[in-house]
This record gives sequence, C-alpha cells and structure tokens, in this order.
Amino acid sequence: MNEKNFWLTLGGVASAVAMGAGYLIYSELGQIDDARAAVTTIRTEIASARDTVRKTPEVEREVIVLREISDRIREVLPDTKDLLNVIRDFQDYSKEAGVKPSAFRPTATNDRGRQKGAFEKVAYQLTMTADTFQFLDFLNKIETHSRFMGVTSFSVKAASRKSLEEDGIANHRVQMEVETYKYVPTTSEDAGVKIAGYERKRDLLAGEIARRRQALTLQTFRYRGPRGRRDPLIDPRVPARVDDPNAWTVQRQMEEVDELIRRMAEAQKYWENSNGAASVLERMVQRSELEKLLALLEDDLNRIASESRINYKPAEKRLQLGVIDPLGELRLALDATRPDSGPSSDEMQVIGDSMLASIEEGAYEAAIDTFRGIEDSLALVRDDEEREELVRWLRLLESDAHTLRDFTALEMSITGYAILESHDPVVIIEGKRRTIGDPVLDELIVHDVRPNEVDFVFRGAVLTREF
Amino acid sequence: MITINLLPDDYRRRAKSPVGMIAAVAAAVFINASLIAYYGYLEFGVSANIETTRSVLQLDLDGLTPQVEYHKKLESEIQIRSAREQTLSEITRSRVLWTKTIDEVVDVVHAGREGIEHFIWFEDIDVRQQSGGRKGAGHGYLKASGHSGSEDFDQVSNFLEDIEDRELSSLWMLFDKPEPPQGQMNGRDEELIPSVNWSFPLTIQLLSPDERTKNREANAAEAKQ
Repeated sequence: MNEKNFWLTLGGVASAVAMGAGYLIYSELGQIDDARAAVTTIRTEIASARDTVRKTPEVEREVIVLREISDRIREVLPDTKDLLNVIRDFQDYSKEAGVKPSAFRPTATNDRGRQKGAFEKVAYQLTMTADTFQFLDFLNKIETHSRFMGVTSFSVKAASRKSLEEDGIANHRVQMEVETYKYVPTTSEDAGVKIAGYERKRDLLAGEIARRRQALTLQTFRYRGPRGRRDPLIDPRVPARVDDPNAWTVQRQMEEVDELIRRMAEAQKYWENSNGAASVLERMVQRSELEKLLALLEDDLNRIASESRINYKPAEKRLQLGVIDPLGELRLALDATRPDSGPSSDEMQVIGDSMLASIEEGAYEAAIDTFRGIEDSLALVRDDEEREELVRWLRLLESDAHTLRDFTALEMSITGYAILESHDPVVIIEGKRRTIGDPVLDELIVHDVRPNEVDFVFRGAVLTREF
Repeated sequence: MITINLLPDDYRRRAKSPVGMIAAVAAAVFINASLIAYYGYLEFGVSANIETTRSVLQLDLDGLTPQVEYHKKLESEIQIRSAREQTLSEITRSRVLWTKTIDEVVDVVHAGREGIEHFIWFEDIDVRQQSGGRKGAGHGYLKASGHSGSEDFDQVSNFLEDIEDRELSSLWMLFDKPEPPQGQMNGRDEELIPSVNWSFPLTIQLLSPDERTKNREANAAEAKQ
C-alpha cells in the first residue's frame, strides 16, 4: 500500500468510525433528552398527584357531609310517588281549614326550564271559596308541609256585601298556584365510592352536618288564627244606629264574640268531663260548674240580644254558629240526662261518704263544695223515704261542715285555767275569767274545762278547743 | 509504471520512521476512541441513570394513581350532590311565606284601630311571585283594591305608613316602598257607618331574593344588638 492509499484508507476508516460514533452520540443525546423530559413529566404528574391526594381528606369530608344531608333533601323533596299524596294532603287540609275547594289541576310551569338539576318542577292550580282566615289556615298548612311547597301566586276576590248578608259567611273566591319539585335521582348519584372509616369520620363531622341540615330547613310560620281581628276582605261598615252612639265597633263585636266562643268551648269541656267522669262525685261537680257557666253565658247572650249589640254580619254569624247553636244543643243534652226525681240513693251515699271523709280530714270547705254539686237536685227527691233520709243526712253533714269550719276559724287566746274541787272550773280567755255557762262570743258558750282543753257549745254542738 | 532507484546506497534517502502516519493513526484512534467512550458514558452512565430515575418515579406515580382516581370519584360525587344542595338552597332562599305576609297585612289593617288611624278593607288581593329573570319583569308584587272608611282621605297615607312600619310588621323585609297614595271618593251611604269611603290601589313590589335575604340578616343583626 503506498502512502497515498494509506492516508486514504486511514482517513476513510477514521471518518467512518467517527461518523458512526457521532451518530450514536447524537441519537443517545436525543434519547436522553426524551428520557429527561419524561422524567420531568412524571415529576410534574407526581407533584400534581400529591397535591390532589393532599386534598383528599377535605374532599372526603365534603362527600360525607353531602351524603348525610341528602336524606334531608329527599325528605323535603321526595320522589314522584309522594306527589300523589300531596293531592290527598290538599284534601285533608281543605277539610281541616274549612275551605271549599272547587277545582284543582296541574299547570305548565312558566319558570326558566322545568328541570333544575335533579329536580323537576310541578305546579298545581287550586280554586276554592273561603274567608280570609280559613284561607290563611289552608295556606299555612301547605307552606308548613314537610315537603317543600311554595305558593307562587294567588288572588282573593272578596265576597259581595249582599252575599255576605244573605249567606252570613264570607265566601271569598280564591285561586292559588302551588309549586313543588319532584326529586329525580340518577343511578350515579346514589352509587358512591366507599370511604374508609366512614362512620368515625361522619361522627367527627356531626357539627358541620347539623349546620348544613339546618341551612336546608324550610322557614316556617305558626299561624294563630284570627285572634279577634276582622277579615280585611269583608266590608266592615255597620248599619247606622242613630239611637245609640255607643254602639260597638266591629272590633269590639269580634272580640266579644270571640270571648263568648271561648266560654262556650269551656262549657263543652265541662260537659265532656262530666260524661267521662270516673265517679259520681266528679260527675256532679263537673255538672254543677257547667250549670253555672251556662247560666252566665245565657245571661250575657240575652243582654247582647236585647241591646242589639252584634250587628256586624260575620260577628253575628260567628255568634250563631259558635255560641247560640251549640249552647242550645248542650242545654237539650243536659236536660235529657237530668234525672226528673233527683239523685239516686247510691249517688247520695257516695256524696255523703265523700263529705264525711272530708270532714274527718278537717277539709270542711271541700265537704261544702261537694254538697253544692248536688244541692239543686236534692229538692227533686220526694215520696221516697229512704232517699229523703239520705237527703237529711247530707244536709246535716253540710251543716256540720259549716259549723266546724266557722268554729275552727274563730280566733281566741286561752292563757290559763283553774280546776278546783267543789268549785266551778275557771278559764282565762282573751285575758278575761270565764266559767261554765259564760258566753265568750256570739253563739259560743263555755261548756266545760279540763286540763289543756275547753269544751264550748257552738250552734248547738259541743266542740273542744285544745290549748 | 515501474520506478527503479538507481542511486548508490550512500546517495539514497534513508528510510525514516513514519511519524506523521503514526501520529495521524494515533489521532484518529484517539478521536474515535473518545467518541466511543463518550457514547459509552452516555449510554451506560447518563441514560441508565435517567432510566433508573424514571423507573423509580413511575413506581411512585403508579402508587399515587389509585388515590388520584379515588379523589376524582369523590370530586365528581361532590359536583352532583352539591348541585342538588345548591338547587334546594336557591329554592328555599327565594321562597316567600305568604301566610306570614298576609297575616301581617291583617295586623296592619287591625292596627288602624277601626278609624282612629285608618279603617281599611279590600275588594281583592292579588299576589304574584316571579323569578325576575327578564329585564323589568320584577320579582313579584302584592296588589289590592282597598277602601278607606273615613271622611279623611289622609288615612290612606296612615295605612301606607303602617305598611312600612318596622314595629308593626316585617313587610319591609320583603317589599319595596308602596306606590304613592291616591284615592277616589265613593258615593256617600247614610245607611252605613262610616258613610264615606275612599277607594285606593295598594301596590307593593316584591324585592329580589338577595335583597330579602340582606334585609332579614340586617334585622337579625339588629335584634342581636
């Protein structure tokens, strides 16, 4: 090989090897760059994953809270099936409130979109007649329903003055729109990922769960009825009465009628208690109270009627329906159950035993009250020797109770006594010396003196006072 | 062509060591050896090291992936459930308890003390609650055709003033101010007391849910103080 060839060969081989090595280095560097980029990407992904995982406990807590309050959401907005029950509730509420429904129908919702997330809006239009307070009662029952129900619109047209005078009750025409939402859950909403230690974590979040549940609680209002207020949809003007400038205002008429209705309800309570009384004695006491209450009520009604105090139609109607009619019925019922010939022997025996027990316990006033419960009916006992004897016994017990009560109530200071043989005993009462036969007060005479005891004659009975 | 050197030995150029050649070969060998060595360093040093690092990191990432997926599932559950909670909050927030509202209107009517302040009754009441989405649509209203039973037509003003009275009712929390008073006298009826009455319209606009909430909160804060 000559020199030239040598150089050519050397150059060629060296270049080829160098180029090969260069290519390898170049491609290796490319791979290294790629690998480094991949490492950087993985590092970023790891950092991001760590960031994400770091927030997991917080997210878990939120999921637990949301899962725990979702039952509250279902409670407020149940599924379709319960919607049918809403109509049943409307029916019940209308009966309870006294409104008269005339139509109900679903209406198209005019709000932005029928569907709100998992909720689908459903609206109903109800038409009815009622007075304002009946309507408010009905409205309140709807608005406080455990399911969310909102009233979006309503209109009330007042009953005319003429119809009010003819019917006596206000039949305002009411049209209202009630809307609610159906809860339409999807499968994915119900399938939740399993959270380790769920119960323990939930217990730790009890406070937050309670707070969030509270935030979802529907605002409610406790409607307390008319409370003596007049219906603002009734023309409250009363007929002019030039002869009586002191005629009651509408307000006064409503208040008076409300008070009479309250007393009537109280009387009915006594009637119910008397019918359900466990003993003869209790029944007689309840009836006695009822009689007194009814007598006062009848007096007031007669006074109001004679003075024509109630002339505001709704008040007049309320008086008729709430007092006059039930009072008449109660009177009839009372008369029907009243025995024509007075109490029976058994009843009187029970009353007498009760009075005797009270007297023995020193409860003289209770014995007198017991007697009062039967006193009026005793006059009906005639031509029956056994019962007449019992009547006399009861009257004697009542008289004894009076005597004992009055004797016990007497206040006197006994400061000393002297009992001497062959002399009348002496006692010092109110600082004065008294002996047997001396009067102390009206109807009170010293009868005998013993150590630490003095016998007195009081209203024909010998009674002892210790000192 | 064949070349023959005919010079005597003494005159012939002595054969020298091929230094240049050796140097060139050595240089070529050195350069190529360096290149190959560098390649070896890259392949078995740097690249292997990076690969090891990548493997370690990948293992780390693989360990985190299920946790991330769990997190994502939780997040998607939150999205669904919180949307429901949000929807329900919106519904409850925009709700108006009309029983309470009308009961308070009755209170205001009652507060007139049958003509001392005012003596009001209505022919009708019309209530509407709107979403307020469209411009100018408002959020709703309470309208009524009222009557004031008095010779004095300023009793209408007394009534409207009572509507806004914070001590009488909480209507101010729900409604804007009533529209200015106006009225028309009806025919005198001597058969009735009062014989004169004025018709007047009552119109009050419902505030937006935000304003109502703000008023309620302000009232609660005031009550606390």
